[in-house]
Amino acid sequence: MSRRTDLLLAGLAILATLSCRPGAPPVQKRTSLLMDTYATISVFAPGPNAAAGLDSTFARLEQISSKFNHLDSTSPLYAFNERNVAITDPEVIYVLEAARRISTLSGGAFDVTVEPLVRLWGFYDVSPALPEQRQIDSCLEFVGYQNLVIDSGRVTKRNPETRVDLGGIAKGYGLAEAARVLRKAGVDSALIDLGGDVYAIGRKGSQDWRVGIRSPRGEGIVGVVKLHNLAAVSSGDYERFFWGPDSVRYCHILNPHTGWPARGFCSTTVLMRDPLLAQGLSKVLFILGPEALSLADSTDHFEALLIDDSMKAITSAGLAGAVDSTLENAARQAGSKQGNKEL
Amino acid sequence: MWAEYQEAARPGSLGFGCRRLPSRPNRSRLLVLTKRQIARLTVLDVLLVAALLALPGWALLRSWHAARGPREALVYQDNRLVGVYQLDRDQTILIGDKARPHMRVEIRNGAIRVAESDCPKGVCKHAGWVRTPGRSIICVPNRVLIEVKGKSKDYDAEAY
Repeated sequence: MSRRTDLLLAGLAILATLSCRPGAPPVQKRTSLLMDTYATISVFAPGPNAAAGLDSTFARLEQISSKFNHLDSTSPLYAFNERNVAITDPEVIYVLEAARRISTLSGGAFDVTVEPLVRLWGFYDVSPALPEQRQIDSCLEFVGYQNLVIDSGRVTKRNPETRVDLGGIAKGYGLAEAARVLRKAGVDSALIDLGGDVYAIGRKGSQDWRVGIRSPRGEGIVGVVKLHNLAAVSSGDYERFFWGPDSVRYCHILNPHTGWPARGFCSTTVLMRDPLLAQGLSKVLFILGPEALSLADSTDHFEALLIDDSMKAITSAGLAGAVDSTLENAARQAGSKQGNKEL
Repeated sequence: MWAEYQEAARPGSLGFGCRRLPSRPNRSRLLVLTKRQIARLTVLDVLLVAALLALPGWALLRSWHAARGPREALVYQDNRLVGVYQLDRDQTILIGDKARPHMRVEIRNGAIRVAESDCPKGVCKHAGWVRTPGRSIICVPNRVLIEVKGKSKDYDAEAY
């Protein structure tokens, strides 16, 4: 065989070998148990500061996990609930102010003072169960965001029985803070996943991060959304629930007006720049349904997907194409700007 | 010569085999060996050709295996990997003390679930059977994460 042929074959062999190598840059992934769930952060094409950035981020999330857990005896929320000690922690006040904004916008559908009701239904305990209506009625007397007084760097309560649970919004704050710490460490491409609430920093190389929206019934996903500096936050009735004696599924998301678990929807997902607001709004949509899509006009723009009990999808206009065609899909135009505006 | 071949190959110039195509230039016979050349092949040449033929096959096999190969479940406790289990083998896994396990995990027909758990809320049991790569079952009270690994999912995370 001629030297020329040898060289050609050797060149082809090298090319074939090179083509077998995975070309994509690596993803550095770290998982840890915190905030009552598993947190996973994936950094794409990690630079030299990625490891240190992940260390700082997980340390920060541990801090937030402890501070915002009202069942943790060292947290300012525990002292507020159990001993009526005023909250002075600026970070907690910041989140309470955001919660109040969502409460005001939603007419009280989202309310962090729902804690006595959640306790009554037994969702903090081993066996949640149907309470009696009179118990619900007596709890409702203490529920209401108007019972919280936020003034001059202090949060106090009008009714001493009022108690606060920030579980419905703290993970959103965790996402925002994790993104801030990672960016500060020089990480410009990462996916933060706090137990299914997700925030994407930058893009994954030249493409957006792809996030599947889990089906609320059975396994699989109902669609894939592309994220770029955007949060995808979901609420659902499929993780914390119990079956009542009437064979009805009772979930942990309670309607603060009625004191009963919200019914009608099994999953709501919000896509928004601000993960803190997104988490509150996903609860609002779960409780109020598609009428809350009009809140996009009075908040920062968001896109949303709602799946009702019959597995019918209702989407804001911008998400109509992202949902699995197996779902009966009704795109809803929530205001003229919806769907045309860049997220 | 090559120009003539191109001209002949043009549909308009071909009368259903009425005109015979001229032979291609010798350059195109670069990899066609004569008997004489074959006789002169060395062991190294044969090995080189064999490697060249095997490499693409190996690459295809590897990518097929990565995409469709057996999935496995990784079980973490307290942020520490405590076991890796193939989902193509039916089995029961006990997590915790052998005498009094905290969780009983089952693998059946390529799926995994928490069948029993002593955790208060039973969120892990509500997750049901899980088989898709990327999906996980979390039990916060027992500090357990069960994650299905594989290559077939085409997204980076799940919102739920």
